[in-house]
Amino acid sequence: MEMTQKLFETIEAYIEGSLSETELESFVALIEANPELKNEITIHKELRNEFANTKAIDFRRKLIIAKEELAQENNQQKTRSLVLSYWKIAAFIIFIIGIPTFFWFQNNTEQDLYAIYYTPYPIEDIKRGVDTTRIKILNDILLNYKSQKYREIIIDLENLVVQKSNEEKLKLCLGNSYLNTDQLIKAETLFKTFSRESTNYFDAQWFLSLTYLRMNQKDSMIPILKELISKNTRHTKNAIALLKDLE
Amino acid sequence: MNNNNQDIIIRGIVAGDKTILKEFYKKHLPQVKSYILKNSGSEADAEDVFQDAMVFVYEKLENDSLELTSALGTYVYSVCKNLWMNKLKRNQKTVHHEGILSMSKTNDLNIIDQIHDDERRYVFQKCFLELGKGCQELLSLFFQGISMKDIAKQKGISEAYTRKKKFNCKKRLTELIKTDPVFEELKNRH
Repeated sequence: MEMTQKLFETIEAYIEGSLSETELESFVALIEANPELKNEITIHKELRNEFANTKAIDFRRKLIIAKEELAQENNQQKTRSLVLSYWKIAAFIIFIIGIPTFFWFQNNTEQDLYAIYYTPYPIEDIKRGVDTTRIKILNDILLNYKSQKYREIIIDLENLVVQKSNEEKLKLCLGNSYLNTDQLIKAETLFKTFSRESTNYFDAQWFLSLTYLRMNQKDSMIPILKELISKNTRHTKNAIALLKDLE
Repeated sequence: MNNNNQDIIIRGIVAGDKTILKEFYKKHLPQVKSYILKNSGSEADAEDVFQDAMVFVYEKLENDSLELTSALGTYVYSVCKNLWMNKLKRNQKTVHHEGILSMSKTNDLNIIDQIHDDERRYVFQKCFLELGKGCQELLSLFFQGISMKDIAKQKGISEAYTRKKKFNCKKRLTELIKTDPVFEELKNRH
């Protein structure tokens, strides 16, 4: 049954009790003939009851803001320690080769945003299987990934991904490792390999957008963020906020 | 936690005090996350359930129907567990940690029934917050019983356009609700 403006207004008038006797009679007949309409009316009634008072929804809004601010504070904390480590590395490089490559570390808007929005893909739920050699390799990878020793695990991860191309979570970890070792083209290529049918497609899209953020390719990011926003994914809220920040 | 601290937290929650809410999140969300991750859930599930439990508690505090026999954090944790167990039961999954009777610690078994009734409302609330700001404002005014004529006047647009916009917003909202997986799960029970 097509939901038109006229039908919605009739439902509202029915709920309010403002239909004329004749209108009511024919509408009741229509309801009896259409179970879908009956369900629709139930939803309209519930909506009316739920939102007549805005306290609960206002409170939920405040919770969302509190949670987002908390996440932002955590990210900023991470960024501060990350920036500190970067500066230590930069100082070391300057000392050794005397070239001020630290310009890379100079903050610009994109890099600030990247630091705010990037959190590594969580590796915990990867299946380890029964092969003991594989379990050992995976355990080492896990440990190093969690310790952010991305450079050390790239070769092992690449081998695993070649052997088990269907283990997309490993591909996400590899992509994250590329992203964290400035191999941005490789990260981009890898994240692009996820098909729309994949259960990890939206994760890959999110990291692809962050790869473009690192590459300062705002134009490539926006359609991806919009897609994430249009779907209900775990990255939707971040995508909304990032798009807003970009704009 | 002493009663004085608990009173401050309760007052803060009722007032929607951001600092108190953030502190509450910081202190109690990790425990809920740990429980849900051990029981087939994700971090996003935990955050979702925690938010629902907070709304549940807020409404009880608001209408003065919350009789606490334990710390507020323990109570919220119990609500979270029961919300999550309901979901697992709907999806016919096994619960590995602590049963529904742990709620008896709070001496408030009635809560389980109330949670059942509220879960559908929570879907409505979450879908509502997915709408754009304009739609949220317009529908809020409409649901509060303000006439289309007055809304149009307030927004400085024609009544016909306001009606059209209200229809579009409400249609989007009902579509979001009807396609929500939790709504689908709850439908059979309703």
